[in-house]
Amino acid sequence: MECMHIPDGILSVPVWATLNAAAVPGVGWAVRRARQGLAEGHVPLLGVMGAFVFAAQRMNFPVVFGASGHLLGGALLSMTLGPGAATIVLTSILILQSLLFQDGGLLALGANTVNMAIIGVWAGWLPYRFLSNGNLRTLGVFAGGFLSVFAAAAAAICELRLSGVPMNAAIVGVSTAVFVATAVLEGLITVAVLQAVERLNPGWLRKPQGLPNRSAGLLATVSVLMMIGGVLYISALPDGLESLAARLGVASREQLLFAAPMADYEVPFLAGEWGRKALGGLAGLTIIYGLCLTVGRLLVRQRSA
Amino acid sequence: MSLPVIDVRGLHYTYPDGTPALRGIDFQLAAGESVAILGANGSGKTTFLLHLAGLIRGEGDLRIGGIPLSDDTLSDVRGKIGYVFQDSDDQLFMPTVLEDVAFGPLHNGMDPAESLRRAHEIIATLGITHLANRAPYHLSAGEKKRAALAGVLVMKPEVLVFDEPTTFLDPPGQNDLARLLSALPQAKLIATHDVYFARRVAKRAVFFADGRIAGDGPVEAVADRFHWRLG
Amino acid sequence: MGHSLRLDEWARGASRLHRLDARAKLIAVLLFLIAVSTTPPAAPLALLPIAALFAVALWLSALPAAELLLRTAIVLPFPAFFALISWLQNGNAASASALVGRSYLSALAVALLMGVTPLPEILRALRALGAPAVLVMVLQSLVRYLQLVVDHALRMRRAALCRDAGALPRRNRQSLWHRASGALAVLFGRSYARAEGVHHAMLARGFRGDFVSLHPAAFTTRDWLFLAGSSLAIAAARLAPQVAL
Repeated sequence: MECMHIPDGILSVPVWATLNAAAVPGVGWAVRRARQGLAEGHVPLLGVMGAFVFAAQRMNFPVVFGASGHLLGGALLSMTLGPGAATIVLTSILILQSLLFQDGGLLALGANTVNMAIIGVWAGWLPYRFLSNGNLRTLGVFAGGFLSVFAAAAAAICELRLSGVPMNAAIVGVSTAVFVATAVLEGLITVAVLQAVERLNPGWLRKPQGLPNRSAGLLATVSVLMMIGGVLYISALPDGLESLAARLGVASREQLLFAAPMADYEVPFLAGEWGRKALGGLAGLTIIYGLCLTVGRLLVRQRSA
Repeated sequence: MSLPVIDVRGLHYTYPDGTPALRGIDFQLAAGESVAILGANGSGKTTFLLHLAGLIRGEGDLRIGGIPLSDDTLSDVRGKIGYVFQDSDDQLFMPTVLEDVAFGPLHNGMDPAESLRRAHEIIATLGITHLANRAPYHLSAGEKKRAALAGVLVMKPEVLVFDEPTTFLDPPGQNDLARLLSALPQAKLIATHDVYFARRVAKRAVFFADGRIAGDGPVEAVADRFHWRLG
Repeated sequence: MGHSLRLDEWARGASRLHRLDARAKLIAVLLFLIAVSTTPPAAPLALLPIAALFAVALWLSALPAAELLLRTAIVLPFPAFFALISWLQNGNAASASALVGRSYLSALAVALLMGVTPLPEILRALRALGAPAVLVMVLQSLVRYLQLVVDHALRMRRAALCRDAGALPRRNRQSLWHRASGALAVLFGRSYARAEGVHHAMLARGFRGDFVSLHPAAFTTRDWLFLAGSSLAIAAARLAPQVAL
C-alpha cells in the first residue's frame, strides 16, 4: 500500500489539480449516498471502522519464506459498509495518513483519493455486487479484493506517467508483477476475513439488492481487468499517454483551463511558463475550494428540503 | 407524593433474535430518590436502562418526568435523562474534554458561545478545568468518568442513569465517585454489582432476575435476600 | 505510530507558530506546497529560496530541527526510486535531484504544520474552511478511537502469543492464516460494538443526525499578518530565481 501513496512533488500541476477537482464531487456523492444508507446518522461506525482498518493493516498474514502481507481493506469495507461509506472511510484514512505520517502528499490527496477511495472501492464492489448471491460468491469476493488493489495501482502508474515520470516497458512490467502479487494477496485475505466475519454475524455483510447476476458480475470483472490492462499497456508505450492525451484533446483543454484565465494579465514577471503554472495551481485550488463549498451547500439544502 | 420522575408499566422487550430480555417491568422512581439496580449479568439491567433513554424501544408504558415516551417526545425525554454509560470511552467521543461537554448543548439548539460557557462552568464545578483541552485517550479512568458526567450534567437532566459506574475505577476512584454522586441533587438510578457502593449512594434497591424485578426494598435487605455479597 | 506521537507531543508547544490560527497555517502550507510543486522540473537550485523559507519557519517553531528532518526522511524512498529511474534512463541528474528535493520539502512542510498545530485544531479548521461535516466527524471519531482499536489489536496479539508459549516455532501456515483472519473478524466485531456504544451515547445526548461544529475563534490581526507575510514570502522565494536569471 505504501508504494501507492503518491507523495507531493512528483505529480505535475495539471494532473494533481485535475484529480483534486475530480475527487471533490466523487467524495461529495459518496457522502450523500452514505447518509441515505446509514440509520440516524450512524457516523461513529465509519470512524471506528477507519480505526479498524488502520489496526488491521498491522496484522500480518504469512505468505512464503517468512515474508508476510497485510490487509489493505478497500474491498472489505465496500462489502460490509457499502461503497459510499467505504469511500468516506478510505478518504478519511488517506487524509490522516497524509497529515500524521506524511504518507502521501496534501496536493496529491485528490490523486490518492481517486485511486484508492473511489476507483479502488468501486472496482472492489462491482464483482461482489453481482456475484455475492450466487454460487460464484467466493470468486466475487476474491475478484473484489484483487481488483480494488490492481485498479488503484494501475491508476497511480498512469498518473505518474502523465506527470512525465519516465517509465519504460520494463519498469511498468516489473511494477505490474509486484502489484499483481499484492492484489492476489489482498483477494485471498479479503476472502478469509469476510468468511470469518460472516461466521460471527452474517448481518455485518452488505446484501446487494436484486437478483444474482452471474454474467453481469463476470462482465464487470473482465471489463475492469481489460481497462486496467489497457491503461498499463499505454503507460508502457514510449510517449503513449502524451500522444493519447493530445489526440483526445485533454492536453489542450488542460492548458485552456489553467492558462486561459491568466492570459489577459500579462504582468511582466508572470509571463513565463512557471508564472502560469503557479497561478494555474492557485486557480485550480480556488476552483476546488468553490466546488467543495457548492457541493456542501447543495447537500445541506437537499437534506433540509 | 408528587409525580414519579420515572414511571414504567408492563415493559416487555425481546431481542431481534427472539430471546426475551424484559418480561413485564413495573418501576417508579420518585423525584430526588436514588435506587440501585442489582442482578446478574444478562438479567436485563442494561436493556432496561437503554429503554429509559429511548435507545431501545419495547412494548409497555414509559413516562419520564410525566411525558409518555414516543417518537415525537424522544428528544424531550432524552433531555430529562442523563445517561452515564459503562464504558466512558464510548461516551467521550469528541477530540477534547471541553468539546465533548459542549456537544450536548450544541446539538440541542444552543449557540456555540453559550454552549462553551456552560461547558466551562460545569467542568469547573466538577473540578476538572485542567482537563478541558486534553484528549480523552490520555485521561485516567476516574478522570474519564468525571468528564462523562460533566457532559451529562451540562444538559441539566432530572434523572441520572449510571450503568456500572465503578467499572475500571480503583478504590480511591470509587470513593470519589460515591462522594460526588451523593452530593448531586438529581434522582439517580445506578446499576451495579458492588453492594457496598450501592449502599453508599442509594437507600432502595431493586433486584433484576430473568427480565423481571424479583425484589424491591432497602439495599441491605435485597442484598441479603438474594445472597448478593462477596465472601 | 511513533512519528505521529512525537508530532502530537510537539504540537503542545507554545512558540509563535504554535499560537497562530490553524486556518492561517493550513492555507500558508498549501501555498508553500503549490510554490514547491510549480518549480521547474529540472532546476533543483530554484528550490533553495523556498527551502530557506522553510528553515526560517522551522527556527520560529523552536522544534528539534534535526529530529524533524530525520523523521520526515521516511518519505524519501518513493521519490528516490523514481529519481533513480529517471536518472538511469535520461542521465538527467538535475531533474532527479529536483524531484527528491520537491518531495522532501513538501513532506517537511506538512510535518512542521503538524508539529505546531494539534490535530483537533486542524480538523476544526478543515470544517471552518468548508469540508463536509460528515467527513470531519468521521475523521474525529477515527482519530479518537484509533489508539483504542490498535491497543485492542495488540492485546489480542499478546494473548495469542501467550497461548503459543512452548509451541513449535514453525507452525502450519494454514492455521496461522486461519487465526489471523479470525482475529481480524473478532476485531471487526469489537469495532462494530464500539461504534454502537458511541452512537447510543451520541443519541442520548440529543444528537439527531446533523452536526453542529464549534468554529475556531475569530482570526486575529496576528493571523492576518502571518498569512499576508507568509504568502508574500512564499511568492518572493518562488519568483526570485526567475527574476535573477
